Order: sequence, then C-alpha cells, then structure tokens
Amino acid sequence: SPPGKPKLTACRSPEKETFTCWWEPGQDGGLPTTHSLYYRKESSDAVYECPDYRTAGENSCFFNKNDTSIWVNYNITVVATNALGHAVSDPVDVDVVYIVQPHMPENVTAVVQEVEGNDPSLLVRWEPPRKADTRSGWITLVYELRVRLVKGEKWEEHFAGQQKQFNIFSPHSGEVYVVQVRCKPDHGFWSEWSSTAYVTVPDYI
Amino acid sequence: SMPLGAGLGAPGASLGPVCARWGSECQPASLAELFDRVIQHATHIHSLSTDLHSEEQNVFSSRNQIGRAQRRCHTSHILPPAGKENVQSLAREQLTAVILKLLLAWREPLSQFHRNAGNAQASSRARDMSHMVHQLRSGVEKVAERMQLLGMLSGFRGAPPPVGAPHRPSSGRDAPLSDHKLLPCFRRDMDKVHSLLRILKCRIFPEHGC
Ligand code: NA
Ligand code: NA
Ligand code: NA
Repeated sequence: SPPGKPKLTACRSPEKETFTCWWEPGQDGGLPTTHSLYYRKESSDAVYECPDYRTAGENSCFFNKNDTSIWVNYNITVVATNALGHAVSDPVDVDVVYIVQPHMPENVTAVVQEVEGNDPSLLVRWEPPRKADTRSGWITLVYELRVRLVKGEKWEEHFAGQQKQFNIFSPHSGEVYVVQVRCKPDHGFWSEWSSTAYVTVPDYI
Repeated sequence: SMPLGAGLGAPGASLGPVCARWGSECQPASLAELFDRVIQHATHIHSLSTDLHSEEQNVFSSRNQIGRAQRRCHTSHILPPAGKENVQSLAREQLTAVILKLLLAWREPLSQFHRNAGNAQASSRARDMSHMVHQLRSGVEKVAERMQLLGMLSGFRGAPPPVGAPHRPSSGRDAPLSDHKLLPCFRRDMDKVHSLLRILKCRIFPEHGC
C-alpha cells in the first residue's frame, strides 16, 4: 500500500543560529519508502528541499547558519513516497526565535565558602553552553539549579536569573551534596540538566 | 530601587524620571540603568503580546491555516528576516534607528486597532499596548539622547519624527490589520526590539552580564 502519513515531531535550535527538524514516518506500506522535507518561507512562493539530511541523523533535516534566518516563518512539510504513492505530513510553521533549546551549562563547580564567623555556604558556578553566543547579546539565558544530599532523594530547586553563580546557605554539616544546572532562553525551552558537581561540607558543628 | 518598579507595564505608568532613586536627591540614572529599564519594559510587552497571541490562536484554532505563511507584516521592510551575522553587522546608529522605526511603525496600527476593537476587553488591551509602546519609544529616545551626549552615536539621524507629527498615509501594503494578523506581527516586532536593545547594550557594556 502507499506509505502512511509522516509526522513532524519537533524543530529545535540550540543557539538561534542553526536548527533541526525531526519527523516520524507513518505506517510502513511494506515497500521501500523515502522521506523528503520541503520548506517555504513566509512571503515567498519558492519551495526548497531540505539542505542537509545527514548532519542530524536519521529522520531529520539540519539547517546551517546560511540556511537559518530569524523573524520569518518556515512552513515545513515532510513527504513520504513509495512505488504506490505518497503521503504528506501536516505542515508546521516555525520561527527559529521560538524553538530555541540550548545545550546544557558547562563547567559546573561547587565549592564550600567559609567566611569567618559564619556557617559555610556552597558557591555554585557554571558557564553558558559554548555554542550559545551570550556575550554579544544574541541570546540571553536564565539558569536554574537543583541540589540534593547525595544520600537523599529530594531535589531543591533555585532560580538564578542571568547570574552564573549561586550561593546556597546553611548546608548540613558533614554532608555531600550534588548540584546540577540548566538554562533557558527568553522564549524557548529548558536545556537538559548539566553534568553533576559534588561538594563535601566539612564538619562545622 | 528603580522608580518604575511595580508600575511597569501598568497602563499609564511611565519608564520613570531619568534618575536612579526617588526622593529629594535625584541622581541621574546611568546609561546602563536606562538600558536595563527599556529592556525590562520590552520583555514585558513581548510577554503580553505572547499571551494575547496564544489566546487568539485558541480562538482561531479551527480556522483553516492555509495562507498563514503568506502573511506579511507592514514593518517587514524595516528589518527583514536575518541571521546573526546580518544583525551583528549593524552599527550602533543603525541598531538604534531600527528600534525606533519599529516602535514608531506600531503607533498608527495600534490606535487603529483600538478604534476598531469589537469589545471592551479588546479595546482596553489595545489601549494598554499603545501606551506601553509609546513609553518604550520614549525610553529608547532617552537612551539614544544619552548615547549621543556621551559621543556614542556619531552622526545619528535615525530619530523618527516626534510624537504628534503627521503619520504617512496608509498605502495598500499598510492596509488595516485585522486582529489575528496584527498580533503575530506585533509580537515578532517586539522580539526584534527586545533583541536589538540587548545587542546594543552588550556592545556598549560587554561586562554587564553579556
Ligand atoms: Na536526516
Ligand atoms: Na546571557
Ligand atoms: Na542565523
């Protein structure tokens, strides 16, 4: 039979400079089937085929810097074709500005800060994902961290805003904590949680 | 600590006097503080336009979506779709001029939207948006004046006509926008304004959280 209708599952950009769209094939018609992605930019009748099916792996299309503009809608469809016919996905409209999901923050560290006369605190620091150009203002990230006792189960979350460090006060004496950080642009999606930083609080009671 | 504080975004609120604190002594706000205020204000307008846009999408979700991608914003010519390199190649003067032109270009459509609003709720929203865009434009004008005083804008002539100046009559291309065409364009332009303000700020104050 002809191929089933494919479905565009997501389009995401890690840094507002490139983006990728993924699809799921529809029901298999039992014949060799190819999938092609087509897009049209708002205010233009020209239809283009996916510039790069390879870079982002199977069932995906990658748009590099030259193929990526912001403040314009890309109207995207996927067409499945076999010897008996074809099937077209529902179209998806995306403006890259609204599909940004950054990579996770990097170099997360946590150290104990001891100031004379006070209980120690935990100072957590991190860096933005390398690919996100935060320095020029092209992308602005806000951060959230979560912390728990290594022997515990419950995470405690803290919102850090645009800061790249955060102080956690009154950690339990003699305990080990684990910390992770994630980031989000203004109107996009949270990154994955970063790799874990561990910190041991000295006995201070 | 900033005078605009809680009033930000409330209809009729202003971006505040150009001083850092309320009270008897008015310390002039620094350029960085002025930038932070207008950026915060732009954030607020964008998030409001996002709320309105998603409400509108719910209302129109049953509508046939074909042809949506052909819509064209009346402001498209001011800053066409671009990649990072195009935007980063704009000089400070150009960035400032684009921001002000975008804000000015919404004056007439928003008041038209207000006049044509079908119900009290839409009417009051349109009025709020007009106010906020007007305030943002005044704020950006202050930023531009300050930059000029500090010698950061050379030969800047991008300031559009002052408030009250006659508006260019609508051409066919600028035909009245209906609700559901206006909001996506407005939202996009507020994102442009917001992004360009931040790029401009980071260019001038690379050390301030950029
Ligand atoms: Na692929
Ligand atoms: Na940032
Ligand atoms: Na780009």
